[in-house]
Amino acid sequence: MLLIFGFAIGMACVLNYFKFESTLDHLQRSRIALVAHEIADNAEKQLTIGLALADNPALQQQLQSKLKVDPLIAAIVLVDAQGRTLARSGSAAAVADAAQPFTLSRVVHDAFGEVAGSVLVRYARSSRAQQLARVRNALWRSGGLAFGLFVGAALLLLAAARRRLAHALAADLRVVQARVAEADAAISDVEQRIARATP
Amino acid sequence: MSALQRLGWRVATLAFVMLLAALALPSLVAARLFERELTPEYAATALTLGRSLQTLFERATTHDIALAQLVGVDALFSQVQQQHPEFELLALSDARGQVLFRRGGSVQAVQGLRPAQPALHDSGVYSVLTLPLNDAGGGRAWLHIGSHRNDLQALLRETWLDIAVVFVVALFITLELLRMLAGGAAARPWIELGRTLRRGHHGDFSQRCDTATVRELGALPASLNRLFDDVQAHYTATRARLGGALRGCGAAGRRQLRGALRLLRALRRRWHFEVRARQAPALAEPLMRLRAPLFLFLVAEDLSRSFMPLFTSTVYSPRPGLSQQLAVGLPIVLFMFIVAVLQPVLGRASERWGRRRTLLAGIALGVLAHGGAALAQTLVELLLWRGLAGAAWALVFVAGQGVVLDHSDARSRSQALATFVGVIMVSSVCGPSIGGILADGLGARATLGLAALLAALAGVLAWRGLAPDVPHARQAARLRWSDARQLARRRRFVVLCVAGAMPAKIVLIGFCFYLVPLVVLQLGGTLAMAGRLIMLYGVIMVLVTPLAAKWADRRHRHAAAVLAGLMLSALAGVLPLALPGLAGVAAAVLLLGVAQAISIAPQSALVARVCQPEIALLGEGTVYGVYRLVERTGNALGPLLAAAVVQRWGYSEAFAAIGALAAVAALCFGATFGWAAERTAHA
Repeated sequence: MLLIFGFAIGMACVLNYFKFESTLDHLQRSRIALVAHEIADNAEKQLTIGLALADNPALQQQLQSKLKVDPLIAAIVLVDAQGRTLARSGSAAAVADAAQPFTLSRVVHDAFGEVAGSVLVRYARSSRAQQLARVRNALWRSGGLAFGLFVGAALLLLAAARRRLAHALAADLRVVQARVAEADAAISDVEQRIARATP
Repeated sequence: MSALQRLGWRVATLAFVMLLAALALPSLVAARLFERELTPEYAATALTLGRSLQTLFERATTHDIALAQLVGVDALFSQVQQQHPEFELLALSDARGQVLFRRGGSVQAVQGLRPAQPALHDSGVYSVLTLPLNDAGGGRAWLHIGSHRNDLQALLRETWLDIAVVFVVALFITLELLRMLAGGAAARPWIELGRTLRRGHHGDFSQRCDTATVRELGALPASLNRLFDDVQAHYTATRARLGGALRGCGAAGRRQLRGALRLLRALRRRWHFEVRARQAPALAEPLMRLRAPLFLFLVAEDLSRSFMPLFTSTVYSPRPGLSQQLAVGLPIVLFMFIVAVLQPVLGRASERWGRRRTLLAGIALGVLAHGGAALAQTLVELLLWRGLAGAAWALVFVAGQGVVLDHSDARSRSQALATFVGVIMVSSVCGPSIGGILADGLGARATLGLAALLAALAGVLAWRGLAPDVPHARQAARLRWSDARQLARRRRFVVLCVAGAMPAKIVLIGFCFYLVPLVVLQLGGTLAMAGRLIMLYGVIMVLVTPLAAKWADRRHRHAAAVLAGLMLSALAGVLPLALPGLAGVAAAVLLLGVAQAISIAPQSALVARVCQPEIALLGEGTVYGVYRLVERTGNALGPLLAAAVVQRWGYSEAFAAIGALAAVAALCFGATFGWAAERTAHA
């Protein structure tokens, strides 16, 4: 039974942790999307007046300034439709780390609605990992405490139930014995009548 | 109630309260943690937007353009608000505190806000983030970004509700696991002893305890048995003596013995001495043994419900004539179609093959289907595996239903079916919620893999727990059209199906699963809110179904329960019109849950009562197969009818139309089965 309660508390902790992780992801992604959208919007405005993506001399400076907008952002890369890098900001390691899952991309369309390129914003996992570890530890601690308190209370309950069990069984047995004695007496009554009727 | 039973109830109640407290503690900690960690994250979004706009404005000032002279700021603010409607107030004020540009909110909300560093203020209904900017000529200006204070509260409320959902899911799963434990071998001696004592209290000495029992009980079961054996021997000897005396005496002696005979007869009415075989627990043991594997299998299937459309979109590749919107619905449609088509056929097949073998075959197919879906790379592969999952579900459903029908009689059928429905409802409440959260955390493929593992565990439990099949008394033949025709001649069966089962499903699917999500979104709610309302339906079902079934079985009021369910469904249709807003929808879902909970198990039990001759002739599998086919037709018709009414008139009218359909069905049902006064025993 304790295993079941432990499983239930553990499951609640794990599910709450996953819920927190997804809410945090959602909030952070929507924040980073804000920056990606703005860069992509500016690039699209530039395309509508006939300039190519790479033609903007202030592009590099713009990406550099957007890098400072949020401490989570590790790198921003603007690529053309063929995937060639046109401009980038951030550390080389962060730019190169294309495999990491914390990348948000926003497609840039030209005036005809064709894909002209993409803005890729890579954001750091370190602060997120710390935040998640903090929550994970706090949840496990609370789960462990709840389980410990539960085990303690369960042991007390069990001890109390054991003490009362003997009383309860004795009380029940007394009632049943009384019923049996009652029935026995009634049967004896029948026996006496038979005895009286058959000398 | 015996002292042992009273003690058992007290221990169970205290253990339940302790469980609630034990689950509440991590939930409360999670709620506080979420608030502490997510509030700065929420505020950081405004800061990121502010810094982004700051770079834009300050670029202008580097060209010596004063902020007051900038053009297009209103358009910029408008564009920002289109993309981020949560920022209702955007304003720019100069060094004197005069508002230069503003979109949304009021001037008063930003007046006097001139901090040296970015700072968050509560101003009226807004939470305003103010950032200092450099203006041309070395001046200062401030950018204000305000969001409604309720937005953060709404986000936190959403997370609290999610935590509450996790709490309910963990509680339900624990209670389900505890029920499995309570139905297991460890609890049996206690249940038997409790029952023997209770019967002994009432003068019934017919029951005996299992003497190979638990340590805490000591010699009690044996001494109780001895006590009953002695009194029974006493009674038997006296009866034999009286019999002998009656045979050996003349008419005069018989007259004298008449008083003893009368006493003995009175004794037999007052006490029960004849030893009966040990009775099974309240619900037959095979049902309790079915519970665990059935629950695990259904949870495994329900895990993928919440993310299947999204997962389908990841394996979809564009094909002519098949849009992504259509493709994401295909696995669900295929699953439902296969379940509906196979159920009538498999009803008889499970009688031929044996319930255990059918159940194990279904579970094995389920393991294969979930594992295959986890590895699927194309839409065709996924469809194949989901089709197989449909066949697995149908096999397990008919086998489970078969076990319920085989091991229950007219007195306990509703309760047995309620147990079956209860397991389905608990899994449908817990499975999608856990599945959605797990898919977020582990990914859809890993969650499907976990589903395969759970189904495999269900297989092990079924293999070890369920007794080997015994050959069915009557070899079931294949389902024929003539069988359905024969059933169609039974008027009450037709009315039960067409005015009872089918409308119930039309109301459920059309109302709860089609209209509610759409109306909640229309009223400004979220899909998560719709999901929680649907979960509320499931919770009501889990809580009320066993109670209603017990009542219907005890009072023989199965028809009355179905009628009451239909009438309450009709009332639920009117509620969204009477109570506008989300409160009306929630009240309607609640009432619909009660309506379905009251009627669902008695409705199934009524089939066996109404079709006794047909069951004797065709078998339960066939009769229930046809009944389930008609019922599932209601599943398909529900959304179609609701969509047709919505398209022509609107949402409120669709609720009312569905309510009206339930009212008409109630009238037809009442006219055929009689009104509440009629007891099912006479049906």
